[in-house]
Amino acid sequence: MNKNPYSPIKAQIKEVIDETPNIKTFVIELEEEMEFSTGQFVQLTVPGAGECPFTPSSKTGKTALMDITVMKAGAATAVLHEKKPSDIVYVRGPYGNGFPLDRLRDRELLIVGGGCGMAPLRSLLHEILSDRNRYPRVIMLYGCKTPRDMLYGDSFGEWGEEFEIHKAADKADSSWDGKQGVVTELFKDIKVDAAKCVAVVVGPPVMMKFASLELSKMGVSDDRIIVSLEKNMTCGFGKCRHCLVGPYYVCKDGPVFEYGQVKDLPDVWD
Amino acid sequence: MKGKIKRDKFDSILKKWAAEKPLFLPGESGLLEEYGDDFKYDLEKVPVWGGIKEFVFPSRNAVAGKEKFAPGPVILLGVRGCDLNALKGIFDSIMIEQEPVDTVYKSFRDRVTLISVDCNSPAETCFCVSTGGSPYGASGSDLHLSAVKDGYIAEALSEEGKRLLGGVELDEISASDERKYSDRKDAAVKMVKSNFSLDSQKDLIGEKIKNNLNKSYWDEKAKTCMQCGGCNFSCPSCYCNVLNEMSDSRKVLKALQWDSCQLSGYARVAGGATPRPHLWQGFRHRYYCKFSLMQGEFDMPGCTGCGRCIKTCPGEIDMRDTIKGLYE
Repeated sequence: MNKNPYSPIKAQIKEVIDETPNIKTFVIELEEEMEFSTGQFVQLTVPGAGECPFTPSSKTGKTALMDITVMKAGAATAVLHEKKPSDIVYVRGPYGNGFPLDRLRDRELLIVGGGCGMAPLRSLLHEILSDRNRYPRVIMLYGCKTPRDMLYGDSFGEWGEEFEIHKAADKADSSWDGKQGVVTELFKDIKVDAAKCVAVVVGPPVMMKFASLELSKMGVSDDRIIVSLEKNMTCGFGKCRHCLVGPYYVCKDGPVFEYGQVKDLPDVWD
Repeated sequence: MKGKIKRDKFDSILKKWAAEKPLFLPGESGLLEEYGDDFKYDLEKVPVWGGIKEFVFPSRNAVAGKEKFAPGPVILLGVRGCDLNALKGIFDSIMIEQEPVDTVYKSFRDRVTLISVDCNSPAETCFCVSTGGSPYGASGSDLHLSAVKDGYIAEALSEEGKRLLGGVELDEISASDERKYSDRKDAAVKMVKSNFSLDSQKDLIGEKIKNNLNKSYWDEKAKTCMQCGGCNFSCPSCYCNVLNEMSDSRKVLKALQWDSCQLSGYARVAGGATPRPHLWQGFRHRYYCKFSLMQGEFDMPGCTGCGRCIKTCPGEIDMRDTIKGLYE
């Protein structure tokens, strides 16, 4: 008997963490465990307000607890941002392919994150930390608008002990210990073996476009630049056509793609 | 199982079928209506407005939050080859054959018995032959009816079709019936071809579109488009949908609702970014989707040449003109 793919699992909000002025992390507990891998996404229903796709930012595996990091960007996320612990939401999934871990292991890994793109990357960092020996060198470049917009600021100390981290803020202030400028400015500060390293780029489309171009210029081949696209994933399993980019369904063929697969498709970075 | 149903017996057979399950067939309105006493039907008029899509994929219905979604079984009579091609080649393929199975769609699909009929007098907007179909297509039907002078040649195409014909008095099909029937088929094909004569497979409409993505062409073709979405909603192949919520007075249910790629918010994401901000881009996308993307996914275009979008469009946009222009 096939399961109704539209049926969500009930979940309760356990904790709400204020990350930045417009980003919160919701720790939710699902009534049934769900197994997801890093980079996959779920559809979260805010009762009465709508359903949106999010990539959990927590540790992967079979779990009932999940962190969902949400930027207030539209009608449903505005209602979600008003939610308190014990409030109910609904979750279905997981969907999509996730990050290709077998291709990230045992080589130099360059992670480029911007804005809310840090949410899926946080789950990837958890994954790396749980399998630390397989990732010999991890460099992370992180960009945000202002120091106040820095996501997971508390974790950077711990991550900094394990990884090589470079930060940039578009508009810095005296509290900022990173660079001023966009994330691509940070490429000047790092030395990587462009012929062998793999890059994972997640952030706003314009940032992914320019970071990927920069990596290309450095000599990183298109198949070693991994991006995670954000499109209008409505159903999550290839039946509504909203997220089509060229011949790909972002929801099931992605959301993680090689740069070479998508770079020339119409409208991909818009 | 094949034989002739005499015209004078046809009404009593309709009554018999209607007593079994609600029977819908094209009424004088041109829509599928429920058969009843003194019902006047017209099996010749095309296209049948609304077609069969609403019966298998309702414009808005619950998809989660309860156990049972589809109402009881129905018989749909007067189904055309264009609608069958879209149902089998597009809807069944995406919703049932591709994982995960859309169990809600399947429950609606399983409720319908399909009785198809020939198109003996295609409309001037019909172009099914160009998109790989035919005016007498019956593939996917349970029972097919072909009008002849004094009745219908009936052929059962499934177990359900055989069951429907069981107990029906069938006459011999004469050689003259066969000959006339064949002549009518040829005439219908000729007429449909005269409406539009590109072959979607041979002439690679999708490739033409991919090679003609320039703004000036599509902007010109889209100039009377008012983004009403009528072309998508009347299309038997379009299945784009959005999910939202509805109430059944007791509880909140997840609902699926038809969507249209012609509406400006179709692919918009939170924060307002949209991959196709201009009207001409959305307009072009419909053609690109149907003749390039869907051709690749389904091995048939997302157009079965029913012509409903042409009849529906308040901007009088004719899909055939848009396609023809790509070859000039």
